[in-house]
Amino acid sequence: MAGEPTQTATDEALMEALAGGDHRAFEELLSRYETPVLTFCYAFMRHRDAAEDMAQETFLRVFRNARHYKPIAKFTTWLYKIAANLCINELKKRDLRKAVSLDDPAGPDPDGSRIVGRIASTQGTAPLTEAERREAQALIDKAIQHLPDDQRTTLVMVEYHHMAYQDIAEILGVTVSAIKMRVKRARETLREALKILQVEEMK
Amino acid sequence: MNGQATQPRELSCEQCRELLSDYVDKELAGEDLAAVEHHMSTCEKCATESTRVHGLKSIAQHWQGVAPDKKFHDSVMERYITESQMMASKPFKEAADSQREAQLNAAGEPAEKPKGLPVALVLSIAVALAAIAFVILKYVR
Repeated sequence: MAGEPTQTATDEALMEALAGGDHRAFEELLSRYETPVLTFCYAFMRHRDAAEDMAQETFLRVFRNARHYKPIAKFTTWLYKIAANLCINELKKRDLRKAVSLDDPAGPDPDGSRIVGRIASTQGTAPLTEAERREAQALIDKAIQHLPDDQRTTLVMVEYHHMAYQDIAEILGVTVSAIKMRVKRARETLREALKILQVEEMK
Repeated sequence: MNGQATQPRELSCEQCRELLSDYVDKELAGEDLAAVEHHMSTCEKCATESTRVHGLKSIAQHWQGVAPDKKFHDSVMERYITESQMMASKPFKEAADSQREAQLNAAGEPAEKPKGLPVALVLSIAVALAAIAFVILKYVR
């Protein structure tokens, strides 16, 4: 990778450079993947601090295993497999699985419900202001956090990370049929949660 | 060959709805895809349900996750630097050694002097001295 700008280098080239001791390669990989990996871990852990711990450990394991890395599968599959295994093992130790209630002490959020309803009815094409986006995010986050662990993590991998079912199955070590079932159930649970949160279009 | 296109298989509404989640994720292909599209072209209820599932997909796609802050980035880099130094930096050391050798070769200097030369010189001198001693002893006696 000598002379090749890190920003345009492939993930595999960066891993080779990292194995050879190139600090810039690690920093580029971190910059490239810190947002999606942190979000991936957040989908599992549901708490920011815990997600940061898992994401940090994921990148350190990438470094520690750089010399053994072989580009047989996609780099991202390998990366997210590390993150998933870390999160799953940690969840077994920590008591973070308490279901998130949809009740809001502040009461219902009619504005948020209306904006989310508009997203649904226009299939995401309606332009939103920054304030509307924030309102929608708060309500959607509540609904997503309400999903059971396997439904939530799978749905996030489909919708946020845009992963194919086959890749998700490989990362999580389950069958494609299991992924299909999880996605279907996740959408049913999400619909019920949005109904409770007064999103009219879901009724 | 009669040139007629094969008709998509018929689905019930229940069968179609079972496949809608895969359909909106573009995970259907071939016969299944053709069957779902054919059913929805004639069934308003299932077409409406497909629109609802697309709506749910759009909502989920608006979820923004969490963004890392500078503190997170710096913290990871710091741990990485510490670990790479603690690992005795073997690949770093090997890379540095390799680079040094390449520089020496480029300058025309041998990496090491051959070890055999001094030994051969000493042996030659020893043999020569032995020969001289033999000649002296032969003609003195």
